[in-house]
Amino acid sequence: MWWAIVAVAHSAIFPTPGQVVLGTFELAANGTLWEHIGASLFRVGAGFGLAVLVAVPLGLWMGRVSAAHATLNPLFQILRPISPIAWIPIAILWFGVGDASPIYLIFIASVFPMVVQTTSGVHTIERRYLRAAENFGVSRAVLLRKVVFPAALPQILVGMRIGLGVAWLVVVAAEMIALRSGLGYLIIDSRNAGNRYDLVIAGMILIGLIGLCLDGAMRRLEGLESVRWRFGDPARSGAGG
Amino acid sequence: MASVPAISVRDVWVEFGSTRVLEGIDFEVAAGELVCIVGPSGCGKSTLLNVIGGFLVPTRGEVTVQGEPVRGPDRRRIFVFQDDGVFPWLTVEENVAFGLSRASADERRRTVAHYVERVGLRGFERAWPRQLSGGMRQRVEIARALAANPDVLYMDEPFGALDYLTRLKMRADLLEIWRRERKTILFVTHDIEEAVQLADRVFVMTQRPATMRAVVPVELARPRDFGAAAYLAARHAIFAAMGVSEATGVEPPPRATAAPAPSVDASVVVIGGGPAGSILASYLGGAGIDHVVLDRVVHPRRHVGESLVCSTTRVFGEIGFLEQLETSGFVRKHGAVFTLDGGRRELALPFRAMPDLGIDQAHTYHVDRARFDELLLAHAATRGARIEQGSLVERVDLDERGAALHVAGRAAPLSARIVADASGRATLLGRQLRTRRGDPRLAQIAVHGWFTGVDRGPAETADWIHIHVLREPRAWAWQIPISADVTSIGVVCEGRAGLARDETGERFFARQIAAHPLLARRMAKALALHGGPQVEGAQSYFGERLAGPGWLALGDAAQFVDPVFSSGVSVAAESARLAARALAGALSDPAHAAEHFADYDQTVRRGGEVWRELILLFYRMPPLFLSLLEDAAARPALQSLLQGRVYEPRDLDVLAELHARALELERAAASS
Repeated sequence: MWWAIVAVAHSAIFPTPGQVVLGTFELAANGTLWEHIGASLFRVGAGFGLAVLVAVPLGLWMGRVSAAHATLNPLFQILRPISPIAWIPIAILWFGVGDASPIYLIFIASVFPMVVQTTSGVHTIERRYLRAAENFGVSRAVLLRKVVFPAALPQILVGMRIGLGVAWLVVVAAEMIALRSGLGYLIIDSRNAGNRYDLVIAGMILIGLIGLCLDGAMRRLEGLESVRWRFGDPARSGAGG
Repeated sequence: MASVPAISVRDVWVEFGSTRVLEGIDFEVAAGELVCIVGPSGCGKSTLLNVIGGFLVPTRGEVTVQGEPVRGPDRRRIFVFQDDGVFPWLTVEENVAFGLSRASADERRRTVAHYVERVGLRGFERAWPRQLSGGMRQRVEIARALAANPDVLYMDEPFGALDYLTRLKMRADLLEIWRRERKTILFVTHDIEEAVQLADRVFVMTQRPATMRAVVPVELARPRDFGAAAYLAARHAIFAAMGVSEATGVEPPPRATAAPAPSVDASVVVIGGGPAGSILASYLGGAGIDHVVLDRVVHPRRHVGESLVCSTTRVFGEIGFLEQLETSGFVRKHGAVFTLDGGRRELALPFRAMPDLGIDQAHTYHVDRARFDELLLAHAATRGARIEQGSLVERVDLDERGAALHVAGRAAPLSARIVADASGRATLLGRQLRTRRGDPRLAQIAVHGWFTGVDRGPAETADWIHIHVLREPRAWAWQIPISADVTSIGVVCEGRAGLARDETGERFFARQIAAHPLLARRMAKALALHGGPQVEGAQSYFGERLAGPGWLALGDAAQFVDPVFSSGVSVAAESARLAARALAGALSDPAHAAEHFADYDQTVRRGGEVWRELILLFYRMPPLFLSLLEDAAARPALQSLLQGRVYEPRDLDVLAELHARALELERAAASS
């Protein structure tokens, strides 16, 4: 259909599917495609990884200690709705135009949903589990490791899925503005350098596909044995009695 | 036992705002003692346990455990909660090891293995809680508590969420564990039966004022027989202390009303002259209790063939009807034959005498209901029953002084101190009081008729009842000899699913017979009598309450269970026997009438529950059920239940065993 519309409209600029595929092969052949993908993934990995390292402990702390929650929650509620795009000028000011800027943007974008989800994961731990644990007089470390963290883990995973989705969204936007590599850069550069709309479309499709793969990978985590109690058990209920 | 009490509660009061939940509770529990706290829901017994457990600080008073005041939860005293507190993110063994973080790895491994074994979960160490049944999860919780090696266990209705059979099994297991480990156990329950089964002493709590009303010691060796005199005495003492019948939730009438009994037309009015009504009337006549039976009379009744179970022999003996039954030409029933796979596999179950019920004959009877019912009613008349035929009761007004019955065609209502509803499937009071509940798990219909020329199979089992399991789930056919040449054949199936659209009963019946190789052979030369097979509903139902102030329900008016084990007349006979006992007790001791009724209600409902469980287990996996009947270890207990000993069962473990095995097989089938 796409091909038919382009053909009928006699568009000189908009590429046909064939042209997009050819353009993609061209990029793959000269190696720049892998460079762009690798650069984007690296930035997402670094920013998102940092966000996880900060958000999960912070969320657990805010979930357990109500004073921490009372102090930090309003601040986060103010920062959360600010679009990551709005941070771009400040990021450039602070971190220049190297890799640090997009990593910072990704961090900012994905840390809040994960803090919020982790906190709510701790808040919604059922009382019966905490009482049962309290009963055995275990140390705080054991309580955290064996009860609070695993009980909140399903919610933490949900937060990570949201966070990773946002991270991927932001990396492309960040790369469009500065830098010399990444999928976002590929799109902007292809348009600026000679109206290569076949490569623009190719970049868009790649972004979509990689986003799908990342989400799929996060979903697989929800199938882990230690969180299946929360996410249900499709294999078993499917088999039936 | 140690001289320092394990638990000592001194003058504990708890108030939430202006609400007083506990009022001056005082008691001591010795080390190694198993104490149950019973009371109606909302009486504060869980609150009390939370105070003792250190989860709640009392408004006033003090709790000490082994001489030390309680300041909070403590790992030497573990709480087992009512709701499922097993951590779903840990495996069974990780859960059991939870309280052992201070032990060495080796010691932890040994302790976990020991307690997993003790609660019967070996082989499930690596399983996740979601893969276990509710009963198994509760075992994990108990193993986790025991593994921490506490001195005291607090259990707050730990079996409350489990089904009846699992509950029974868990009780037995808990006792076994307690016997070996000798922990002090404080066990809260609202189930009086459970308390009397378990406890050394039962503390009875009441609401308003929320205080400890009585301490009832249960001095009986375990396992405890439901029917033993001391057992019943303990139960009565608890009921009496509560002053509220747990089953009905109705306060007994103030004792003052017992004084001048108003004059009534009869002490007891029995509605219905079917087997339940007739047998009750025979008992009442024999006991000299003045009563009247109101019988609608729809003679001649339809051609129903019914087969009895052995336990009814005791009842017929007690009302002096046995000789007549023996000499009236009913076909003797010496056993049951079950067939599977279209008749290719069969199991013959010869009946045994039941000396524990005083029954020394090993047979019962197949009866033509029309004749049987008539003989029973006539027998009741010879025992002094006053029978008014053609009386249709339209409505019963109940108040604390008795009952007024509005009878069609009679100007003034008939007054009685107690009305016994034996109205059969009409369930007069059940409908009026809205206590009748259909059991959706057993919504069966039956298509049945009488035939001549049926081949009843090999001579030695020709006069037995034959139960042929059909291919569809929950479907089966009966073969009951009515006389030398007449045989009743019936097909039972799930109501909605069974009959094809627009199919007549007759066609359905023919289709089922033709599809079954053995039945087709046996029915090849059969001739239908009385116009061929007829459709009849056979949905199981039960009354939520079977007795209250001034009334009780018995027989089909109380409950009806699926006919696969021929339980119909036995429900009538056994409930009539128990009703006679309750009525005699209530009339001679009006101050404690509520207890007699509550006792009746619980016993009859429990019996019905056992029947239904038995039937559901049979339907779930007929081959498994039959294989257990062939198993020498399980057979005596299962046969005793099948022969009708369900109202005072000795050993229900066999049901739990069946349940567990079925679950295992189902799990294996689901995972393959």
